[in-house]
Amino acid sequence: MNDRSDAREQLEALLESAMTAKPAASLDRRIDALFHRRWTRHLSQVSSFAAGVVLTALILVPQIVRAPAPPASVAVHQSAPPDPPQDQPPAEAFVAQPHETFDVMSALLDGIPVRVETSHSELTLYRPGEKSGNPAGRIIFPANFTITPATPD
Amino acid sequence: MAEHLHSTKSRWPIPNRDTLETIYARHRDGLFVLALSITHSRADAEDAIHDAFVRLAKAPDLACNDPVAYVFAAVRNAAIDRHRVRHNGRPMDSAFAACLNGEDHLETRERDQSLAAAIDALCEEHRTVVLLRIYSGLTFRQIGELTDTPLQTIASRYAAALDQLEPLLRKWI
Repeated sequence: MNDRSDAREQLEALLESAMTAKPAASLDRRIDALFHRRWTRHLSQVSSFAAGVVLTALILVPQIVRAPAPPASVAVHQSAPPDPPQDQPPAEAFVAQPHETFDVMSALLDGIPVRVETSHSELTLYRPGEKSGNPAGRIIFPANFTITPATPD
Repeated sequence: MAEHLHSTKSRWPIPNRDTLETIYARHRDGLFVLALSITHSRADAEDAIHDAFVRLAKAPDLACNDPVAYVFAAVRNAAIDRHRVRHNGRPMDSAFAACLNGEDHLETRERDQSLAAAIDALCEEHRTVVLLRIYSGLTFRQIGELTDTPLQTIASRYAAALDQLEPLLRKWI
């Protein structure tokens, strides 16, 4: 019985040793490419929605919130200042540095009438105490406030 | 075959992308030998494997009993399809010689010729079991799944095939 079993094992070993056929590496690449393409296709399908969202965001977000131009300063001064001295020249616009837009925001929140001029048609306003990120979004200015593009230098 | 796979109660999900990649990585040589034994051409065998994986990758949500057997069945079918197209029904040369080493060493070449002749002398059912068992590394259960044959029948065929081969190859053992 053992002899028979040994002979069978030897025969199996002989059969196995005679076979060394292997596919070429090019087949590995083709199979890999097949799965890669499928994954890419799935990814593209999944991302098509995300791409739409991103595209919409790219179109709409700048219209809602526009980042302040770094070098562009914001000119702020009070509109209709109370009883300006007659012998003094009109109050020069206070040229606020970007971080001072917070003050504008605070003023707006407090209801202080100010006029905001900016080199942009829109202004990004941040919540008080925040210098960047998490913008407060579009501000609906009260009727007695105006926001006008500043004349470029 | 496909109907059999789908009608069995216990099912695995059809091989998904990760499973297919794993099966290919583990069984690429066995799949290649299976396809090569049918097509007798390395290029056709590789194309058959690729065809099968393209089909599998596009397969809908079906179910199969054994992912490995399922993939082997797909490759075998693809190889048969390719061979039919290529040879248009012409008889094949030695089915097994194309799979062997083909080394230049005289003794090895003689051994391989004897081995190929012995395996080709097997009936197709026995040859298939030997090939899938020894060269593709499948279990009897997987071979049964692949060929739609009861497990016991596969085991019997394998034993009978070895009994037939042994006296023919005793010289090389």
